[in-house]
Amino acid sequence: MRIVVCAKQVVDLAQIRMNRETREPILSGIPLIIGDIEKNVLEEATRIKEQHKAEVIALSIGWPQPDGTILECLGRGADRAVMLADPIFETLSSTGVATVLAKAIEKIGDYALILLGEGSTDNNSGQVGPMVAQILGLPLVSYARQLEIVEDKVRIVKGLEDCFETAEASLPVVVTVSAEINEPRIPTILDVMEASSKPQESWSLGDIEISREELEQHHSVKVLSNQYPEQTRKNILFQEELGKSVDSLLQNLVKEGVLER
Amino acid sequence: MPGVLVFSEKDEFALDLLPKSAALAKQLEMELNVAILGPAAKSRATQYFARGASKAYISENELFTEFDAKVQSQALFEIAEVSQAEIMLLVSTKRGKEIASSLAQMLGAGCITNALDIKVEDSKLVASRYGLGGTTIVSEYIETPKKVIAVIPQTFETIEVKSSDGQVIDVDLKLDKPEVKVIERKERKRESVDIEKTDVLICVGLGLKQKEDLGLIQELANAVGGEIGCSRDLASSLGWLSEDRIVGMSGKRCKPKVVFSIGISGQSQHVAGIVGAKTIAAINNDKNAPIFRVADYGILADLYEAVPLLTKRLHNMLKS
Ligand SMILES: Cc1cc2nc3c(=O)[nH]c(=O)nc-3n(C[C@H](O)[C@H](O)[C@H](O)COP(=O)(O)OP(=O)(O)OC[C@H]3O[C@@H](n4cnc5c(N)ncnc54)[C@H](O)[C@@H]3O)c2cc1C
Ligand SMILES: Nc1ncnc2c1ncn2[C@@H]1O[C@H](COP(=O)(O)O)[C@@H](O)[C@H]1O
Repeated sequence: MRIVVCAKQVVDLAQIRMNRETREPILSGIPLIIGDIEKNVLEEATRIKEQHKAEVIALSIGWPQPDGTILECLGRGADRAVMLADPIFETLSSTGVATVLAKAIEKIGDYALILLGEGSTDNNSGQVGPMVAQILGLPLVSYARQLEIVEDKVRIVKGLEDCFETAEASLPVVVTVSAEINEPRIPTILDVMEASSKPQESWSLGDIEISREELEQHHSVKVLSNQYPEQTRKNILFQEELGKSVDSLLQNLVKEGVLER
Repeated sequence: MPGVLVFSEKDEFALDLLPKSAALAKQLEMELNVAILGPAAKSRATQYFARGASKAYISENELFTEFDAKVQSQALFEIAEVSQAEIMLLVSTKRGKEIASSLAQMLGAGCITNALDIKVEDSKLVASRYGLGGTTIVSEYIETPKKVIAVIPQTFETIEVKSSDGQVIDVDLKLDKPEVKVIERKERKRESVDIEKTDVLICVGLGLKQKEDLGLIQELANAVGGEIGCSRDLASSLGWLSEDRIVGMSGKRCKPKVVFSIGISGQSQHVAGIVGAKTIAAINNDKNAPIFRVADYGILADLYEAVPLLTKRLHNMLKS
């Protein structure tokens, strides 16, 4: 059984700072890392591999080259990896990302299970999984909190706002997973060492037979602005003797009228 | 006439979205139509007309008795065609996002989910959403001829309704059987708390060392008459509190008069749920915790010392 894991590379959100004049995020020089939800996706793929005979292939597209993310995937249990890097990916909308992923998945071929995150760490749009399923004409099960392979089917517990649903679909299938599905292991030193000797391939747009013109169609969502919201908080930090700090806090809250006496 | 088509798998969410959609349709000189799927679709249409819909495209096809995202998006794809819809306004529930994404792919449309607001600017439909994990607000518009936007539920003010007529159009849909079978559905145990409505919110995070210590937080909540909310991990990974209490991008967005944030680092996804608070007070023992940068008042202290003291002072203060 072949499992394809789609993993997105994101900027390290904890390191972004604001440009005080424009209120825009300063993104240059911020390291690129694997997304949070991707760790759950890889953990789940690895868990399946431990129970069934399976090969896990990691797939990441991005710009700059998502090689760090690919290495992380290999350290977290993927057997081999494919990446595509191209400047055009930087501003691609979800339909475009899904188109490229679907083409690459087709080229990988012979897949039984395609795993994605329910929402990426930076965009959290939740669009790419359903779009990949639509393009490949495969069934889609989203928001998986439990996943089990039973013969040629997946059985999944989906977490929705008001209920949990147990759903079943025949392989091949596209599944998006929630963070609640597992607790990702931390790779050991050995895992990390082995990762760099696992097979990696770097494909170009030509390799997946997709033209630049076709991809240009997918610059369909145009960003007008991306700014930190106006912040008018006082940012007063009390660090005196604790009793005094607590009193100061309460006095201020009463003064503002947010606490009824 | 080109139209705006509004749909949600839940009537109440679609109805909430309608008055705003009506205003947008008017500005764009488009017709406002709705899709209603499933049992009793026809009789449900009246409520939609009362909120401004001109036509209701309905189907009571039995395939809609069970929810299936693909079946619903296929239906909307066909309805978009017959109703000449250019703009699809959906609701960004988990199911709504599945539908929006599949539908956008079928239509070759650009898609925006989790929209916080939509407005017309220079005759473009501009939507805003959180970017960079809740750190920023992204304002964007779609360039394809057809557009799909899913708006976070209950984003807009509701209005008074006035009864009004509309046209019901029963569409004959060609649908494929669902590929995914639902074997069981368990309703979530709902807590009767409504942390979105409270004036005083006590938010607690992973600074808490063990479940038993929630008692300290409860005593504080009792002292100020507040409700307890929490960071995601405290509920979803540890299960110490119910998921109804999660505050943030994937939980509730709260607008209390004051929030006491206790043992929470203040990562953007969480903060997105408290930015609407009038005043933010934070207790954390790490001077560099990001929560202090978004708070009005911060106390740099161990919560195990600060919370009992705060509770005691509040008791004295509110008694006197
Ligand atoms: C797509 C996505 C969506 C998400 N949505 C949400 C969401 O809706 N809501 C949400 O909350 N999170 C959400 N998260 C998770 C979020 O990124 C953080 O992981 C989470 O908010 C961290 O919770 P925390 O602050 O409780 O824990 P931590 O980040 O571990 O912070 C604990 C804090 O407690 C402090 N502390 C420790 N001991 C003490 C003590 N004795 N006294 C005082 N302070 C102490 C520490 O200094 C630290 O600042 C989301 C993540 C992703 C990727
Ligand atoms: N550039 C990418 N490369 C690989 N996988 C991706 C990429 N973008 C999104 N995905 C997958 O789609 C999921 C959901 O992303 P999104 O639709 O952006 O919320 C992610 O968690 C990934 O599994």
